Amino acid sequence: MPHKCTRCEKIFKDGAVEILNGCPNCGWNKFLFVHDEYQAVPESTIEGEEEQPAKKFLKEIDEFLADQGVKVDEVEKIEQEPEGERIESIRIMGPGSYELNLEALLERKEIIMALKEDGTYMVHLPSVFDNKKKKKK
Amino acid sequence: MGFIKKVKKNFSSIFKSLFKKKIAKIGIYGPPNAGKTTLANRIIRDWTGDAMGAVSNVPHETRRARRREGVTIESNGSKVTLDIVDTPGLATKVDFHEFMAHGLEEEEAKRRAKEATEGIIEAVKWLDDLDGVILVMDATEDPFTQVNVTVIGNMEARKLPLLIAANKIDLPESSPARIRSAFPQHPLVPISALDGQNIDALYEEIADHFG
Ligand SMILES: Nc1nc2c(ncn2[C@@H]2O[C@H](COP(=O)(O)OP(=O)(O)O)[C@@H](O)[C@H]2O)c(=O)[nH]1
Ligand SMILES: [Mg+2]
Repeated sequence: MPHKCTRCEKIFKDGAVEILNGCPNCGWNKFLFVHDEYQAVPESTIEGEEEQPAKKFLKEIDEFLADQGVKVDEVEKIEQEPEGERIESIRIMGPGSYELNLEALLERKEIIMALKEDGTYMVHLPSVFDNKKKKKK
Repeated sequence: MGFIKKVKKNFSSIFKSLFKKKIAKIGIYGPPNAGKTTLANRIIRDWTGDAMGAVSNVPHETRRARRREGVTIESNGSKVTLDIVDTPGLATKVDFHEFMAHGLEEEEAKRRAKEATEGIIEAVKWLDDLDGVILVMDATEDPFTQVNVTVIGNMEARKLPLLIAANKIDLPESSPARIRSAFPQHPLVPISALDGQNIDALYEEIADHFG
């Protein structure tokens, strides 16, 4: 599933490499999962790095969340939140090693995944919970 | 006109009493290895004759929420039909080394760690759909953990009815009293999900509490 840089809006077909290294276009480090219909920028795909450890996990988490009906359409709202408000719900310490902030998972509207200990790379997702509720009622 | 209204009203109350046995969706939550799957299996076996999932001393054996619908429990004249959801253990850390310590290959251990992490997200998501929660704790362990405190606080905020099952009372070192004094605000039943000790008291409490 493709990812979009939240600053320059460039879309990457499979954004794991960019998420890890920052946007090659503008250097920004925040990305959003976007849907397949936006998937029209094949030239931005960086090939030959498929062994990137977090890539597979992200992709699978990503597919999993897509399965749950998560839509990414609250870019602005999330972007306007002050930095300090962002508490990551899942911290990926490395392949097979995760830290979960249960409080954030239970209470917050979005799921924020942070890669590596410095927390530089974040992926914001709006709530699976919200989506579910809307669908139901 | 009055007659029609009356008939309608009667009809709707008959309708209501026929379908009053509403189904309560109950989730079984708690830290890994507390005995959630053992308890879910016991409940389902006692009331339907089937089994639910694999029990294991490897943490995170249950990595996807499992659901069994329409389990009817009858106790002291009250009857309650439950949809039971067994969940992966809530944890603040999932590390593949944990699985390797139980003899799994690295690849498999990493896969399980990822699944367990996804399972925890899924378990949290299920909370939105539930009418009540059975929180299973291992009574041989310190109840004052971050997981327990966080989960209980959140369920209170959601106003979800909570029933604590203080499990593993067959073990001599267990202390349900320690759990009771840690969380006195919630009903608690000491049980052994493994050998069935005091399980009837749990069913009674379930029928009372979620019925
Ligand atoms: N002694 C004892 N062991 C139990 C009891 N309930 C579960 N166990 C054991 O605890 C381990 C974890 O059980 P399981 O149901 O898989 O825990 P879960 O991770 O919470 O689903 C297994 O080895 C079970 O046999 C109990 O009441 N007494
Ligand atoms: Mg289990």
